[in-house]
Amino acid sequence: MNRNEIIKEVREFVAERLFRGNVPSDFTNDTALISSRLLDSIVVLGLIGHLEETLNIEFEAHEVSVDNLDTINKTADFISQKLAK
Amino acid sequence: MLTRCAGFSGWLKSICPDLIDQPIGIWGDKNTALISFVFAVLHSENGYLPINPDWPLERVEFILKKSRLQGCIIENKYLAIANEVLNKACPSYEEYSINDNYTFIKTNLPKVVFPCELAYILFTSGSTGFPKGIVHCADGMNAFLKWCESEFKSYKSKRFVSVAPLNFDLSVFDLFFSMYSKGTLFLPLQSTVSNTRLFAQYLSVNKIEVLYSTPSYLKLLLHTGQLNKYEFKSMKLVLIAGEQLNYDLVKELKEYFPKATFYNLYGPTETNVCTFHKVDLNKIKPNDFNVPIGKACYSKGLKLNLYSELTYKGKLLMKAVITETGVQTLKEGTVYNTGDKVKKLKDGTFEFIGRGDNMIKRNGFRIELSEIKTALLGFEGISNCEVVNIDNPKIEIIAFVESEKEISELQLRTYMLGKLPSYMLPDSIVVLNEFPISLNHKVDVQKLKEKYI
Repeated sequence: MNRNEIIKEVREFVAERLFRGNVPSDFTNDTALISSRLLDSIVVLGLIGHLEETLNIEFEAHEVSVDNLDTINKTADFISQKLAK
Repeated sequence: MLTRCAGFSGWLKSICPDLIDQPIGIWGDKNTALISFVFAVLHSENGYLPINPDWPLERVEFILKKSRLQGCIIENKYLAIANEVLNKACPSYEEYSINDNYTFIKTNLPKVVFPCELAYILFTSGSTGFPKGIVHCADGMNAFLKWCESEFKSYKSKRFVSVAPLNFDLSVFDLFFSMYSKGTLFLPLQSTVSNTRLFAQYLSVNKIEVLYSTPSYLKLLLHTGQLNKYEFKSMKLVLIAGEQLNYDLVKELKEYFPKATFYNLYGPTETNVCTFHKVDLNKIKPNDFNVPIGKACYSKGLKLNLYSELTYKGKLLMKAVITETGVQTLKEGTVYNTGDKVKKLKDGTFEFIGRGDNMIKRNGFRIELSEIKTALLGFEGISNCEVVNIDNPKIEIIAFVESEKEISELQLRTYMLGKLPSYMLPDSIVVLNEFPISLNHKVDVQKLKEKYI
């Protein structure tokens, strides 16, 4: 799976859970999701479960962090690196 | 830990010699150090008031001022933002370093007298549009622990896990009953709780025996925790509270926790747990869907009023409440109306039916829709708003906003996050130029619901 596909996967999940499909035009792949608290803990929990399942990866405890998952771009970068290992 | 608590409480007494039965804030990530401060505050004969690091600063400022917080233990990584709030809330304050990671703040706010031996204050959503502080005292907490001791007497010296944040009353059981019953308390990192698979592994590896959580979290654990990878033969007691519980969830959980006994516990923050029901899966009839909330913890105190709402009178009830007007002490023998509509079943147990007002429960947290409305009306350009909830199939909050200007939902959400905890945010926001008006010149909420949901 390449970076663009990962971005699409994350973006679709966030768009559905946060905006019920109607994504505002000022929402970008660099919008802060966790540090801004836009995604609450239950949604983050769902996101992690969803990514683990669809991308067949496993997050370690220390990997679930704001640094790795705060924006769609950061998440995609992190997962690309993880998959490359 | 007891030595550490005594040590800290002695130190506290030396800084604030006349501090007794006053609220002391606990502001930091939940870990062993933070929990020992909770015990230390109680040891110093004061009460603890948890401040969740995720709360918006405006909310913290309100809480500091209204509860007249006398002191606060702050994890140093939150000290910079805490200073911002303290500068606004207190005319003057003093800082004392506790160790490399924590700082104590003495606030110099004028004191109020609390009516009892203060134990803890939990802030929750309030119906007046502002947060509300529930004040619990030592005798209420003892009554709760004594009840736990009598009901869970076969669970002495067990391995407990604490999932709920300190500002959620489920944590009162975790912290104090684990110690009271000579058990061991396990504190998973927030990042472990936020990943259900890791949490499942944590339960299994640490051979956890007692788990207390909400239906929402347990459902997520079941569906995304990959429970089939692990074994949970140690799990003996699963307590569930905070939301309506149904038998299907218990049946599914029972498959993974074969040796566990399940309880449905019920009670608003004002009383902590006041009813309980031990689930017997062998006794369910084909049409049973919801697990009853059960019978009263001390076999009395609960009554139905004229509107079928459950009322409580007794020792588990809070002793005072903090609102925007300050601390109000409850009169002796106060009858508290939970606002929850219930039905009394043939065997004398109660079943939860629903709410008669604008309060809802989501993920175990209670949410007053009027608080969301107050927050929305503060956004520039919003002339009117209505906040409604639907319950089909799961609870969702929908905010209708009237504005002549274009409003970005992203900006609006970001703004609201500065006012409200994330769990209170609406699921959907519908922006309209003009609201429909009913025949009696009020906003036609029914029409809004029919047209846009």
